[in-house]
Amino acid sequence: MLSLKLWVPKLAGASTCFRPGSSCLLSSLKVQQCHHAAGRLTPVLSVLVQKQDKAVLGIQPSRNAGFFTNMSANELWKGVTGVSNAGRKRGRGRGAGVKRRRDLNRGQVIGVGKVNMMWPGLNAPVLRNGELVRQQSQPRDEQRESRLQAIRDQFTDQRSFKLTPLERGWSGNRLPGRSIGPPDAVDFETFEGFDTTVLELKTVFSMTATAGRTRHISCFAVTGNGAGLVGYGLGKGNTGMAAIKQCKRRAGQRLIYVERCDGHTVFHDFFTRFAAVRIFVERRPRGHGLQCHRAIREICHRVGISDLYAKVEGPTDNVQSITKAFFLGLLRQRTHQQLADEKRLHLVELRPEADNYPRLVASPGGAPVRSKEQIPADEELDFQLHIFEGKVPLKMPPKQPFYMKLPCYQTHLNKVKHLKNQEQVRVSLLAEHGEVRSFLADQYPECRAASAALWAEKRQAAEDDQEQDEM
Amino acid sequence: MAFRRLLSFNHVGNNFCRKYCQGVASRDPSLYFFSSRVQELLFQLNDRQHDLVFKPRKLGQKLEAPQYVFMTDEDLDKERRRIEQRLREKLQVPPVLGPRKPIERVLAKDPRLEGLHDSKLLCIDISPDLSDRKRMITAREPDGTLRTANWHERGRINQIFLPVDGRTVTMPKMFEEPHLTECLDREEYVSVLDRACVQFEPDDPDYIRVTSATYDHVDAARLYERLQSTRHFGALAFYLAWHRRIDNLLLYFIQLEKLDQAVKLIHLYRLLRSAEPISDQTPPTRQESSQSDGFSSSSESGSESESSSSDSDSDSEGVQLDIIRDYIENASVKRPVLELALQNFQHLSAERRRVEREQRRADGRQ
Repeated sequence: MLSLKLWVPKLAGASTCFRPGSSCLLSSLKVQQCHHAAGRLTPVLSVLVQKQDKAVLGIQPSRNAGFFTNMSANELWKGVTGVSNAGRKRGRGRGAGVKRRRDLNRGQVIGVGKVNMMWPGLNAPVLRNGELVRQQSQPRDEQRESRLQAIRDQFTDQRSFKLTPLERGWSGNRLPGRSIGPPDAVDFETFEGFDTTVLELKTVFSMTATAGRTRHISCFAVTGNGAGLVGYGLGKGNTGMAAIKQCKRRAGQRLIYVERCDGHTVFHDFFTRFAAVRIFVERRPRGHGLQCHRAIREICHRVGISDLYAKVEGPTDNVQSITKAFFLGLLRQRTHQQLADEKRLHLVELRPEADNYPRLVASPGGAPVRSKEQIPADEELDFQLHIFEGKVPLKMPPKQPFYMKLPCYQTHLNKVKHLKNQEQVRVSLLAEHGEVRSFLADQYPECRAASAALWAEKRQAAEDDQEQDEM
Repeated sequence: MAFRRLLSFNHVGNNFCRKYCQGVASRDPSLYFFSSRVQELLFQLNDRQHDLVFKPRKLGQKLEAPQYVFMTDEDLDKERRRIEQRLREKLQVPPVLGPRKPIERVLAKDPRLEGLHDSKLLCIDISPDLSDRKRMITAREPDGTLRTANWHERGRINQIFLPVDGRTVTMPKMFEEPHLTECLDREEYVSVLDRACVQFEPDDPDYIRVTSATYDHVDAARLYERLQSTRHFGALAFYLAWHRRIDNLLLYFIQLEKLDQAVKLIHLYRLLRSAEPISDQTPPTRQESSQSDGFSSSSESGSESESSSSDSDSDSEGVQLDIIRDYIENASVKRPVLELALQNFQHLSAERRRVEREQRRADGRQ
């Protein structure tokens, strides 16, 4: 026996054990050092010694064992994805960015690995046609890696769904602004034509004597049938679903009827407040749209108001107060008939686009119309002042840009004066001549735009062709 | 649509336009148009539905919310009177004049100025207090002749220096063929006529051509309701009466059971047929006055059919039928069609009266 001198680097705390590899001395020798100290994550270095003709060619370190082969899958994954108890209470380890554990065994079969071998008794029969099957290496499966990767990716991605633009809420895939369907049917009331929109969905905490901080989900939604019936509700629960269910039920139970003018807007401008929220609401003509806070917009969709202006002052993020303020304002509206009755005067509508034709909208019902003598001198007859009960909303003039006051602005206006009508002139030249040209274009054809000349030629050629076809 | 295309009025319109331009027997329509009797008839012939006359107009302006006003009964009456006045203004019929005569007149000849300029020069007096028709506009030809400008030059120069909103310097292409016919085939009568009123003066031959083509198209397609409650209906009625082609419009009125309108149309026709121009001094005929008395109590809109069942109404209806029958027998072109329509109307109204009588009897018994 030849004696082999081996030099193996000693690592701290590692004990050596010698395990010869193959019996052949001329082949490469593997010496393994394994550590017995379980739980310690010191790397185990194995040394691959290449020996040929008794000469040591080189030493190549390789790790074939370590913590990730000696620990279970659960322990490893816990290490990677784990969140401390304290962290979990704060809600960490949830959401989009969290690492999820993957089962690496999926897609793998015992006996099949990187090296594609036929192991009789494992992944091949021992006897085939009476003959003993031998171990055989088969050609490498090139797609194995990518197949496994695909399987693993499939289960890794968070199931994030795409919403169509019509389904989308106010932000992302979140529920506020999204519809949650009509309230559930109760007895005979099927809530046909109703739709509910979530206005707020939040996690709320409260301190209790026994359990300390308790967590609930709060959901605030508004429901309506688009024809005047509308109601809002607040629901709280341990889970989101429970909260949503409760708030939808309550919204359906607390419906009010809101009168709309001509089916599309409020009867008149009004001011309303609830808590610290103040809202100035203005009536708008048909086609204007809903120019308001997004919560008010959703409420208007549910009510069936399609044209409105509303300015929210105060806390604009307090959706519940805004809703309550707006509801109060809608309920306190006075219809045209009510206004005529309370004033005992005719109510007449004047539209500037209809040449201010006086359209009689409402006449007092029970009592006769008052005459001029019966009206006291100090009575407020102006419609806007009557509506706002003597007050008037302060309308600040629109802010002009800073440079309009400077003298250099006048200089600028003088410079661009000649360009003011340019767009219109171009359009009328194109309409009349088919190109943008000056009166000198006939005399000096080279001053026509190159494209204009080209298109004029093409037009002429097309006309000539047409004439030829006709002939 | 095919029917209308067959009757595209290129040649017919020109034919009638030439007649109009010459005048039927060279008469000047303006001598008849401005008489108060004719004006009143033109106003009465219009439907005058307030919803249509004062309908909201989309002129590209920013819409505002409507204003509301509290009114007493007196305020309401005052507003109603204002509206009646405004109605008269809005339904004022665009003037019907004969085509204008040339006004070019040589002022001076200066052959020594020839070659000084290679283009014509136009001078205009832009004093703001002058009427556009009267202000002095002269032209200097390249050959040195100084003359007054012709109508075409006058229109262009006036528009350049004293522009009228909505008018273009050169005539819009929509008034040339084939675009005009295409517009009329699309039944855009009111917009063509409105733009013609803005673009042209009433004695412009182009205005007369465009309006005549439009009225011919409306008459052929029987789409008179398109012009109802607009100022153009009166002009249409005048045009048809002037050219003695009121049969289609008469048929339209009879079918809609508007006998008072039919009678007014016949009156207009008779007035325009008279050889002498009407002056306001000549007293109205006996027939006209009786009819106007009978109808002054009728509603302003004039669109109601005969009111129910009183004898006086059936009497006045009888008088109306006599007038219409007289016209059909003596002056109409489409006699059989009109007679049939009149018969149908008489059957219908007799039926209606019978039903009402029976109902009254039944109610009386109850």
